[in-house]
Amino acid sequence: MKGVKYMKVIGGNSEFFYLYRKTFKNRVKRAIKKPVTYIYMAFVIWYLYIIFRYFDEVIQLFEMEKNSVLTALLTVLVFVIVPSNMISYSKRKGLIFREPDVHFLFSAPIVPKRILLYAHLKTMWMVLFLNLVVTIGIVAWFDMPVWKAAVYFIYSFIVENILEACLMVLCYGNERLDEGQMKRVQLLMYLLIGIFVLIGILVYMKEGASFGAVVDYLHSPAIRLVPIIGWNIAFLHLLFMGPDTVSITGSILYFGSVAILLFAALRMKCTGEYFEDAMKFAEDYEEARKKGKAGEVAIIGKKKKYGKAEVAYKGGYGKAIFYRQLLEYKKNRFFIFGFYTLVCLCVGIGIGVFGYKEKFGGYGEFIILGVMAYLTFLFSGYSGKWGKELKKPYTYLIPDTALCKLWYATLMEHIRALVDGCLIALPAGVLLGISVIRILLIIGVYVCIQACKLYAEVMVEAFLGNILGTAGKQYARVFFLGIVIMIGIMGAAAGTMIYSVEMGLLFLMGIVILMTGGMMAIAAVNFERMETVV
Amino acid sequence: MLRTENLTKTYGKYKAADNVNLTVESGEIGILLGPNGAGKSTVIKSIAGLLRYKGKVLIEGMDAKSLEAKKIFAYVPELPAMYEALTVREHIEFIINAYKLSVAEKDIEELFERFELLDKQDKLGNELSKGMMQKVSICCALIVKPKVIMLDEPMVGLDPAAIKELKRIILEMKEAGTTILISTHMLEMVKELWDVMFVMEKGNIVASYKKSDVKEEDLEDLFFHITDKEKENK
Repeated sequence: MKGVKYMKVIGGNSEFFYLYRKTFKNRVKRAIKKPVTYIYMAFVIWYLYIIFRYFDEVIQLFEMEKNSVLTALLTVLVFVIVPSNMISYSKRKGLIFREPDVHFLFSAPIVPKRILLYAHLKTMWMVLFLNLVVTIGIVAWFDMPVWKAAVYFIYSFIVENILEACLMVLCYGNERLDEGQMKRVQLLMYLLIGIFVLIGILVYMKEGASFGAVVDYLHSPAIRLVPIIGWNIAFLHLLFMGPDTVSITGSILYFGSVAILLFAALRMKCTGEYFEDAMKFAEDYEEARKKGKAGEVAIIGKKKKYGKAEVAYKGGYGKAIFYRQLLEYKKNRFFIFGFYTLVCLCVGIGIGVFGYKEKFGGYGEFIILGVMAYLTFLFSGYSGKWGKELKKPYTYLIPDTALCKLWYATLMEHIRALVDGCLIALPAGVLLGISVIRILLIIGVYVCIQACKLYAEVMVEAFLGNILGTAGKQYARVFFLGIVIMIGIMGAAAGTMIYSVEMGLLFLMGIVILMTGGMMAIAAVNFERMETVV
Repeated sequence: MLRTENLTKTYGKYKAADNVNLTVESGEIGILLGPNGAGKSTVIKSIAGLLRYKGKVLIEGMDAKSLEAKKIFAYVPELPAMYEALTVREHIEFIINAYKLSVAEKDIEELFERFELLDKQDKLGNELSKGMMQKVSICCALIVKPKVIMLDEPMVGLDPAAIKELKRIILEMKEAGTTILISTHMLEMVKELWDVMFVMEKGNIVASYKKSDVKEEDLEDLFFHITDKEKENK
């Protein structure tokens, strides 16, 4: 109609192109407004520069022909990426569907196979980035001609992805194979990987454990004869090491299998029965994502099971938060304990066993404290329930002071820290022959440091929660914790030199308690109202 | 016309929908009622093609899974989910592309105006309230100009003005010959809309009425009459 403006509809696969384009554009627009983006970018550029600057020296360490090193490294890359992808597809996993995909795509007139490809392509940004880095590296570090690098890029990014997309469509979209038959496909994938392990064992038995054996394994002709994954490696050998019978045969088989799988994937009937699994996955993924954002460990599709328990509330107001948490923990299978508890116990026994004879030259206390500090920085520890309290409106409605609510919301974390501290310090201290008073002081220091870490986190959440992402918040927390520990160590050193080790530890505890108290007072603002300060 | 024939959905041994047969003729508004856990959502999701099922679902006589059927079908899910990085307008543009439609700008503007979204067009998906998401979800379904539309709890989260507007649009669609199926618990909201009702209980349709047959009888009375009778039979 004349004068009427119509929405422009792009032809072909327009809907996905539109979705990628707009999503990318809006994300970039949003990211450039955040200062933290520039910090991350600077970090990535610096990281890439370091790799490019020093990787050449790493290559020299191999003392091998450059093309041989390159082929071995690319073989390792294939081992890291391809088998896990193939197993994921055979389990009908590995594709990420989000709830809006379910809402808008599954009922739209779009061929279901194309929706699978869309989900596959969503994961391609990182693959593209990796392939570009490797392709540039092939020319820059390994002095290969540009045409070889270009062929590698086409092969690795395009051909390999066609193969993976075909496998994904054939596994995910298959409506003929029942659950039992799909299990057999999974078994087949595991068998392929089993062959690689078997070849590895044979090489080890023949040559023993050495760097040379690893290289021989990666260049072994037997590897190149393993279906799909091995044939993939065969082409890499053909390209960078030159032709031999095994490489040529493997390459022909690889390209042949790509053609056959492509033909099968195109012909296969798919009406969208996978939508049901994808919808379930989207719900589970969303739930896991929310938990992840709250700092909890969540496995997609795994629902936490709770038992029955009771608790007697011995106090009201803010204290009720503690007793409710206690009830929730009692319903847990392992109460307040988890993987980290086990780590602490192993570390405690490990220190004791290693230092049993030599006693670390009489510096056992400092070794235990050093390991404790390392664990504090390395592990994020327990996610804790305090973060969840901030999401619940009733936390703010409880008639108590913010400081009280913060204390009772985090009290269980201090108890956990006490248990963990005992698990490290008791076995280690006893085996190293450290006095009881020093062991108790070490446990006290550990509890204080953990408390400091906790309140640093609450404080960062209160003031930088809306500005920084998860990683940014972690760095900020480590920064504040680092400052406290540094000052604490200086105090401890002074106390030890002037008086005794016991006094040094007391100084350390005192300083950490003081500074943690300050952080706690600042962090309490989080429990005042249901929004971050900034 | 929307029809299910012996629609059955099982989860292990549990039958969430058991031989469900329902028909909503063109230009009719069907409502699907039932207490929580009756199987309404299972039927709705099966019709929308989100679940595997046994039996048939036909949209204007075509298999619901065919692309031809999907082109004339729209679905408003119970819980709307937006693309975080797409704006309100971009959601509509995406649907236009996905359905390969030719839509006049003024139609989009008109739809946004009816749902008071004109000043929210540039808001991103993750900036929208639940009610706002529901409005966008409804707009995305309406822009398709479907011949068959299915709405799962469409009034939840909407403000009174939007509910009034949605009711008006539903009646306009009915006038235009569109088949409409609404699943809801809010009997008050649909009592002046319905032509045919289906009451579900434990995966079965335990009763269905045409408005023309029950004349002046109140929807709420009818519903409780059926569900109370079911409780007595237990």
